[in-house]
Amino acid sequence: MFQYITRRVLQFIPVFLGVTLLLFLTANYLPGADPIQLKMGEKAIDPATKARLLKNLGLDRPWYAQYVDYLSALSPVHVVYYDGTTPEVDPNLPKGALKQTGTVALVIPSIASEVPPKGVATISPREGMTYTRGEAARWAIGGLTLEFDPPDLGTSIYNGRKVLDILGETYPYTVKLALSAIILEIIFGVGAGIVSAIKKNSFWDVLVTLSTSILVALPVFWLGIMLQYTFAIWMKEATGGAFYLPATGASGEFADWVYLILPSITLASVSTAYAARIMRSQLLEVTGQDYIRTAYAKGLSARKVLWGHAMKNALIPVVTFIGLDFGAMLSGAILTESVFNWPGVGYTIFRSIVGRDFPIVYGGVTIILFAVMFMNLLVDISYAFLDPRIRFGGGDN
Amino acid sequence: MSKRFRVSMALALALVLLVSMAGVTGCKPKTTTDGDGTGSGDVVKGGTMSFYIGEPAYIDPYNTQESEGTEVEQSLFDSLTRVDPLDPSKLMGAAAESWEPNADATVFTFKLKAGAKFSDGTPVAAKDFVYAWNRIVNPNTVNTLTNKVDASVIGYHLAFVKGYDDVVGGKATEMSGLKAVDDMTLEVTLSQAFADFAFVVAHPALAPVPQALVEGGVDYNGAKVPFGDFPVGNGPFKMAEPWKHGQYVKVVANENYIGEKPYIDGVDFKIFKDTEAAYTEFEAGNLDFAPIGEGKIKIAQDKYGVSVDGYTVNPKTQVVLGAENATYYMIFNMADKDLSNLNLRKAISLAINRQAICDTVFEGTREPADNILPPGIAGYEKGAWEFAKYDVEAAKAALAEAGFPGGEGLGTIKLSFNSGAGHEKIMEIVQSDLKAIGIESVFDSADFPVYLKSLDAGKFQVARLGWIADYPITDNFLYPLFQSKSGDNKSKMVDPAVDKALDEARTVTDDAARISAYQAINKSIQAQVPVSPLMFYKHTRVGSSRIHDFVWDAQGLGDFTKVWIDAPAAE
Repeated sequence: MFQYITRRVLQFIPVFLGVTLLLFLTANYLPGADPIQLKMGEKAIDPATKARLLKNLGLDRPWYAQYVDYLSALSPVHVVYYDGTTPEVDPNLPKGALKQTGTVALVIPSIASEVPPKGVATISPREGMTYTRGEAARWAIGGLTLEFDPPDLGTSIYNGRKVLDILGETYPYTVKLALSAIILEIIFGVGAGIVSAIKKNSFWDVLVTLSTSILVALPVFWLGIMLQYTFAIWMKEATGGAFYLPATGASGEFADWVYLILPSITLASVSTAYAARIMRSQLLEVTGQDYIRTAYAKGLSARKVLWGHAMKNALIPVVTFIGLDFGAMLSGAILTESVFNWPGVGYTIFRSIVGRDFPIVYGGVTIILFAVMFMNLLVDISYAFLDPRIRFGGGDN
Repeated sequence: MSKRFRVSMALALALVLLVSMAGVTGCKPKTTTDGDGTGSGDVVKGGTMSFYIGEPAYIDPYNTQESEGTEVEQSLFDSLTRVDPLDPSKLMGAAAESWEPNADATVFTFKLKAGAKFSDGTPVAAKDFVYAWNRIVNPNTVNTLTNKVDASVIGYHLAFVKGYDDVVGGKATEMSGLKAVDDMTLEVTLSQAFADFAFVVAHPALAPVPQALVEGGVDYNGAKVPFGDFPVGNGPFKMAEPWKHGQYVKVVANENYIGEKPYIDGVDFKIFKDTEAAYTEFEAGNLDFAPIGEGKIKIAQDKYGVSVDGYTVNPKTQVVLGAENATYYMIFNMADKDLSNLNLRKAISLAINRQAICDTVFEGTREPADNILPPGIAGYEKGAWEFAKYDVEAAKAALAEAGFPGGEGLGTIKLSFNSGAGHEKIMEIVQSDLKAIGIESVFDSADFPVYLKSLDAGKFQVARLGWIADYPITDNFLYPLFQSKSGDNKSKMVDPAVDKALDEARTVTDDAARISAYQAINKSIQAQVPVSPLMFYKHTRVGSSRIHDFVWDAQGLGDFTKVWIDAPAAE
């Protein structure tokens, strides 16, 4: 198992490099105006200002140089040029810009110094590029200066904020929403599928089949808007209590779990329907097989046959579906986020693609890539528990 | 099919129908409008107004270049002057008590109001303006949120100030034209005459900032918060807590404000991703001011009533539809071999049925343009652009005069616009209008980035654009759009006489004389038909029934000092 996991984790590396390389290539060959002009919209921007801003962001460099910048900022070890031990503040320069002369130091980033305690220093590894790090996280070993520095995903072109900050404040909401939606999906999707299969052709079966058909056909945003109108506008006075909340969650504080109800129902709707249908068809297929008949013939109770024998086999495709779906939800939900004004990562990335705010796109994809790859790994591992025939010992199964 | 199955089927169908009907029908929302719509009644103090915004880019004045950040920022800061919300041709003092240009409008002296303070209690002095303005122009200005160099994109506001080029070019860090004569006197020397400069300094971004807090951070709950998340200003409100990105900005009344104190306790700027979601929130009663959802303008007008002056919200007159200081227009590429023909440009301009576009596409919420200047600008004259009208016969005659009778001999004209932003519907009308006089045209649409680039590269024949004024003055339309060297002159109109007249008009300090000088320039520009104005943009927002006397002006800035809110009904 350990070997399998190690192999899978190592497989992440080429996937990661492939995806990010493709991303940088596409981004750089997109036709059209540059991100600085897009920031100004239809108003012209003075060419000198534009050139300076592009340079500050490193966007004047060729795409491969930008790609190396991105990788080195993200990787555990990277090299910057600066003046050795203590960067010297030049009082004539504006705050933040420091003198540098250009010796090589080995810099090891880590998340340890996310907030530099004091004496924040900024050095210029390359003309026009600045580099921020914390005084406390620096060790001088012999002649070599080692620095602990957080991984950096650059700054947004649109608002100059750190991409890590932007993702740090949106991604938890995406995870929260995805988790609650996936729980709904598991409970109602899998549950309805089981009921529907066990009680084939009953009222409940038809109810499940019909309602899942309708759910699959409903556009997510429409369902979201209908839920808002029903609970937040039409039934506002009638429901009071739990549903007496802003329709879109835009109240200020999102701590309260009630804000999750409508968005997670909306986000889970279509997938819950699919999960129910897959569960139903799988269970029906499995229960028709010989080994189930054998189990019954041996005198096992229906409950034992279902949970001990049929379920495990029937669950494999369902787990695959739910796992992939969870991965997709972790990539953000643009429609649900827009309708409910949910402060997740999906809309942020969407807006950045439209506005060509590349650092956010790169950073967002990086985070999502890790999340999705991790989910896939979990799904694969779960197979071993569901199907004893699947083993991860490096054999040829 | 077994009987049991059929019964189940029927039962299930009935249940599903019932559930779906619950979502579709339902009782009608109750409207709770009260009051008489005139704004009379006793002013009630207190309460918090909730206000829709999109996520701002910056609320730190040094880089507020878009509407959302500007809305928040202008509640926190007072610039030197301020445009009268209901009469954009009038200037009022804000941080400045008085101002005086010299004889040729090259030196402006501003006297600050005595006793003014930032919300942290430190006094506002002329040096705070000097620092703030240099910060906007300096290419090495650091964004307080990241401590990285993040130069402002709005330095152009101060391009007239002497020494601007040196600071932009890195030869100096301070503009030589800025001088804090004493604490209360700011003297600004311009590199060229600009009589309307007092309007420029009304821009919310040109507010004073306290250097110590910009550089050292702001104390909040025992911690230092970057100025960019917690700007401290001299305006009627102050930050209640740091900006919660993607969620809200909360401001409360500033007890140190020396101007007219607001009646309300504060404003919650709620950040939305989507205007439709905001309108839903408005209908749910959780938002006091919101954009009206697409296709719902007529319904909103009936339900909430229309503001009398187009800008002021009171109960029962809640929908604001006032004209903005912005024009939607078609540009002609004057370097193009076909469009260099003046009569062809006239023909196209005369062929477009502007009223039809406003009525069918915008539910009557935009107004046909008869001038590049919107009605709110002091130099506006009705019908001043003689070819910005719908006259098929005149269009046909112009087309014949251009050498293409009935369109004969003229190739297909390209109509360029950015896709996915609703311009398709407008262009369909333009296309059929052109066809009516014999001009064949094709769409040339692309997404916004590609479209902008082709405009910049001059790769278009006829294209659409919108111009939103930075300051409500004639110069802010005519100079950028038609001065031969301006980056916004996308028609590439080159007329040395217009250039010269534009520069001369800037030297005229007498308001009436200057306005008539601009009107004369506008006349000679329109005769060349470099662009064809189509529509004036208008507001499409709605206020709640509990707010009174709220003005959302033609620049899209809310006046939060006069608004008052009904006391909540006793439970």
